[in-house]
Amino acid sequence: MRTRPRADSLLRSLGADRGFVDDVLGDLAEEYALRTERDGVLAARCWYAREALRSAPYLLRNAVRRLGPRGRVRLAALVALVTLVIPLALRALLPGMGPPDRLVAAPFVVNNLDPVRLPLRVLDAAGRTLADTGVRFLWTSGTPVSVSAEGLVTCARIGDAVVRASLGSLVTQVPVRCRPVADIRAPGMLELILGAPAREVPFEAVGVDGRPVTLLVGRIRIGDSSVAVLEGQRIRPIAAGHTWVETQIGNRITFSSVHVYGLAQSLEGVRPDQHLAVPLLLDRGESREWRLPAGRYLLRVVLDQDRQPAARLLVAGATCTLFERTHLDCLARGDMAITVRQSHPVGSATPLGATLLVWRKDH
Amino acid sequence: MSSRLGTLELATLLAVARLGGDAYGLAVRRDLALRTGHDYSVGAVYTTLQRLEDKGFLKSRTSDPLPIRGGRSRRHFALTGAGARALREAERRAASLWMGVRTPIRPEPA
Repeated sequence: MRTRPRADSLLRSLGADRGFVDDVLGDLAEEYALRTERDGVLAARCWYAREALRSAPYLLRNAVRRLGPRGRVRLAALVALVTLVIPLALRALLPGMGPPDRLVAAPFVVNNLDPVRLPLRVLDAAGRTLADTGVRFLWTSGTPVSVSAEGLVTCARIGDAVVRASLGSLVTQVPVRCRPVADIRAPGMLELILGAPAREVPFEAVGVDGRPVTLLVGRIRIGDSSVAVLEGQRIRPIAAGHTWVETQIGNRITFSSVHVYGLAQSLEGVRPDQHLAVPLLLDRGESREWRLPAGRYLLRVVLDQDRQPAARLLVAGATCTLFERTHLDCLARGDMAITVRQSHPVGSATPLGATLLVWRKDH
Repeated sequence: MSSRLGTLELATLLAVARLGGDAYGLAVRRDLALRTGHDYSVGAVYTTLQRLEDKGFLKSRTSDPLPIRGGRSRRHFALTGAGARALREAERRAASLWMGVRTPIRPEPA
């Protein structure tokens, strides 16, 4: 490798033992040459820069341990240069902030029940945000809300208010939309089938009066984006498996578990922790049956349309409990059998279209 | 100077023992990465090697300058008698700690 005099002299300037510096630089050069041949120049350079940085603290330590008093003073001066002079120089070079010129605030939606700070920015004439400016706040009209002089708003009920913000001669009015959310209702489980289009993350925000709140500011998060991804407020399945989705509005948070089922024609050979979805089309009186190995299963039949013949899910050889009124949670110590049968009203000839969802819960 | 060995010191001393005549910084670093799964920096490896030399567990000699190292020498390390004794002592201590432990190790039933 071509020697790197700048890195070399910089590392030497730290004052470390010459032999130590040569050993470190020699190893860096040798591996750089090998990596250049194997990974290319760019990757090797990146590696070199990273390794030189990682080794710098050890060179400094070596310098501190081996230097005499004069050397330590030199080293201290170098450290002082880096930590003091450079930030001061940067500050001197950057243009300074001007005096407050205007107050900027957008209509503010409050979904919190706890106090929240009004987001107001103070800008100078060049449009730069100034910090810690001492703006004072005062409720002026609309629904009575508690506002501290420092801008902490507490919304106890639903309504719209206007808050006055002032800083010297600068004044602005901040519209405050109080929509406190007392609860978020969401299903415990959200089941998706691989290949199906994205769907809305289901939840309902409920206000302090028990009625739905529709003006919301919040955040939705997914636990594992290799299973499902968020597209705005919609969720799209990516791979069979399970994760969770978190919905936060104001200071309320709720979680739903997300299960993505992979389409299959049969349940043969279902593996632990596997999620399978088997489409069904059953004529009047027809049924389908599968045998499953010992394990723990969560089962559900989802109808393609609401208004069609009902399906009956029968399980033999397992102990089952009803889960969330829609699923069967079954534990089979030996082989078990599950049967889906169309239970149609007399005279109906409509075939049953449905999907059997099976999650083998044991690991 | 303490004769007790830290974890990295012990791993480094073992790497030098394993590598024999090929024990120089880069080779030791690769051996450590392979066996510990941790990518130690070049500076960390040389700091440890130097500390072991200061403790008298290692001795070193330098090779002729090499073009691949930008004209610098390689420093080859070798175990001293004290280093070999320290390794035997560490092995004895480890064996003593493991004595009476049934393998494979399983948690006790609640």
